Amino acid sequence: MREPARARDGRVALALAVAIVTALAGPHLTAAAVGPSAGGTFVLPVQQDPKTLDAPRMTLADEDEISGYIGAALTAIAPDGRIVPWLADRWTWAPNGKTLTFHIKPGVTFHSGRPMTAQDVKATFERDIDPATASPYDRDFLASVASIDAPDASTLVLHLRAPDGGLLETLASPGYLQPTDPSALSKWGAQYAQHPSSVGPFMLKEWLPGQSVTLARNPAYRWGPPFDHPGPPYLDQLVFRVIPQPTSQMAAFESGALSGLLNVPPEHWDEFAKNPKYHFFQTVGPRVYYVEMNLHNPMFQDLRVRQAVNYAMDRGAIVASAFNGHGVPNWAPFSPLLAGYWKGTENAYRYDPQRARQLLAEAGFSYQGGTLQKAGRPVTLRLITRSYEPFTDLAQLVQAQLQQVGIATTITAYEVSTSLARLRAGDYDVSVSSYAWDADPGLVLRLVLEPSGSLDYSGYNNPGFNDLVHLYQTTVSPTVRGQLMQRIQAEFVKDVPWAMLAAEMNGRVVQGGFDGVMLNHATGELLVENAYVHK
Amino acid sequence: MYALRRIALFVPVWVGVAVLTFAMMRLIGGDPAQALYGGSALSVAVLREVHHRLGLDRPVLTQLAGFLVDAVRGNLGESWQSGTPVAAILAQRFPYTIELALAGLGLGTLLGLGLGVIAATRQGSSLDRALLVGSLVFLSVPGFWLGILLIYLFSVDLGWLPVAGAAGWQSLVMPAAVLAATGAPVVARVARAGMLEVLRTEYVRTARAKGLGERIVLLRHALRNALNPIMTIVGLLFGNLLGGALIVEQVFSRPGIGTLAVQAIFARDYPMIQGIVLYTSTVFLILNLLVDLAYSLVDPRIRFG
Repeated sequence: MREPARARDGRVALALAVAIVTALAGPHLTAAAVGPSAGGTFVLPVQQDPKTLDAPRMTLADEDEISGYIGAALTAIAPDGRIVPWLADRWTWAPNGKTLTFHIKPGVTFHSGRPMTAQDVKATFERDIDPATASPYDRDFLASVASIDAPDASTLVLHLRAPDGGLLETLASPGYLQPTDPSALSKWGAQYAQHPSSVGPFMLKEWLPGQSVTLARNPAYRWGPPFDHPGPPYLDQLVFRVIPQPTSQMAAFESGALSGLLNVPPEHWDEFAKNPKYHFFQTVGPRVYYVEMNLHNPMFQDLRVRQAVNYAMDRGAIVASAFNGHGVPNWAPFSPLLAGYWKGTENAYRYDPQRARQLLAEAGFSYQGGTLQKAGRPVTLRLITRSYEPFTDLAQLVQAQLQQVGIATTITAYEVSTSLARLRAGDYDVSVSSYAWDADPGLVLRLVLEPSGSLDYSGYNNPGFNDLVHLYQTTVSPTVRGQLMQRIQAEFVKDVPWAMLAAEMNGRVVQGGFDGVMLNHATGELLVENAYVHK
Repeated sequence: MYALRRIALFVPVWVGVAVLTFAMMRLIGGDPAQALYGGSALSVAVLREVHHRLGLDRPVLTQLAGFLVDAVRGNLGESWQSGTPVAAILAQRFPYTIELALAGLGLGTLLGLGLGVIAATRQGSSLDRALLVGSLVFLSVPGFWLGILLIYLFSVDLGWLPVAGAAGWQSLVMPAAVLAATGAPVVARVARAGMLEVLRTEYVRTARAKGLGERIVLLRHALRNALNPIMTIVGLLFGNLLGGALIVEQVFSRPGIGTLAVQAIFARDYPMIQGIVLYTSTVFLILNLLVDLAYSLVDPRIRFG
């Protein structure tokens, strides 16, 4: 899956989201004083040292971030949320929704100079899903694809097992799903991972492991999506420097060694936003935080208890305290960034501890000195979370708010993969959990809330909900999909398997010496390919 | 002969380190297949496949035996994250860590020696006490905190030194200084104590009585004889600084094995972590051996038979 839905950091990595609704609609373009001209080097930090740039084999969000500039995709997601042409200039669905035919743009060439054909895209996708490639994510992305045809150099036909309404959006991934240059693949063999070649705006120039990846402008690039400026990038180079520590990233930016920061810690937003030396961007991010209830615990099988937990959460206080105010209270099962987010979920459970206590009493719980009891025995729940911010803060807030309605908890914080193992084993009662997802909400809902989903740790299994998600995924019509997604969210809010808390906001900052950088409000991404040096 | 016996002792130490590392990685918990993908969502089928590919579905003892046999053959395996041979990655990254640790050790030893000798010659003076307090402060300051402080002063405010990376000597200055700040006080205290002891001896009095200059007395007669305990502490310090370098590397974004190790641990990249620990402990063992052998050079009375 795309953004490693539970990646360790909040970085927005992936280029595949459709979001028609965003909470913040700011200007899309930074005003330019003088027209752009070619030149300049733009330096961004990455937290993790990239290990491979062989697209289907990548595992790190930072690898996808870099790779997304080396590659391109058939489709792109425009700042207004529409799916627009990129490498394909048009596409058609068969009436039964089971065949999707792309017409590839003429004149697209690989970094080697070799023209890119539909056959190359077919070979790429076939390699992506080949079990021998062992791609962790691409097989999920292309799960609906049964077979691929390329009858001529410009026609690509995807035959699907079932209609896949999210496919056009899923395909908009210039990192994981970029066309692979067959000549580079045969030239480098296993070392292709260090010598990737695709059709993106930048090409790999130098890679110093542990230090930096330097990309150079692709002078031939003239096939960008309509929201990018036409022609090759203005920047000579785009450099990614490995800087593991967030404090060191901040210092590097302030010293001028970095041109931008993709993840400004919330406590530094104000100083950057107010400083005229910088361009500051903020947007609702793809990451949501929530209280996961273990539905194998009989207590949580009672809807009234789940509702009580929801009423007990003071989301305003949580946003103010754990996110320095840089978040939005959330009731839908995914971020408001995503396409199909329904405002009707908002305030579904407004903070009401009185109501929570009442619901718990109705569910057969009694109070002894303010502590919840069931059949004469006090209730204490195991609350697990991850051992870093904001999880540790959130866990304490949730603990305090649950205590307000008499639910006592003990907190244990684990390092991320250990906490996931606990969740998977069902070894918890409640968990402060999180995932980040910036693509088709149907796929993530299937993963986190369906019994077969690999992220379904709470044991939620509601056949009505599952049917709606399945119907949504196999529907192609955008209008019907919109209606279905609304019903899915209504069902979620009614049944509340989780208590959603908040969606995180992302702050990004760019040195004032650069203009043209724009924020794609549909994906939350900074579109660095449009940057140029301020003259 | 002595050197040979010492080298033979490496074998059980190596095996111990290898088994311990192997066990520790498996005891800290977490599913490596899951951790490898940054804790992201993987379908159960993919997880199972990754387990099989990494050999995690084999019995633990079989895994241990395989690892030991490979390690003896000098094969540290391939990093699960990148698929590149661990030995090749270490060869590429270890020099950065050694460079930093040696620079920190060199700077720390010089500083410590100087300060220790000065303090000893002015025993009880306010300078002596100031040096004592100063060394206590620097010994207690955490390296990462001092590092950030230096970065803000010399990179952000003054713009003299690069904030991160490993390009040129400039990028070595601050990290080496941070390491030296924790090493120098240790050396200074041992040097001071050693010098005080030596300065009370008869031969120093004789040297002075002969009318030798104070500098010659201090450097040639006193310091030379005080060097032995200092060398021991410097040798031990190297291990500390190697460990400290791992943290300092993170702060200064150096491409050494510290950065590599932290990421490998989070990703549960077992072969990488095992390789790093084995490699580091080998270097440590060899350096300790060299320090021991160096005693005889400094003090001809010591002969290892």
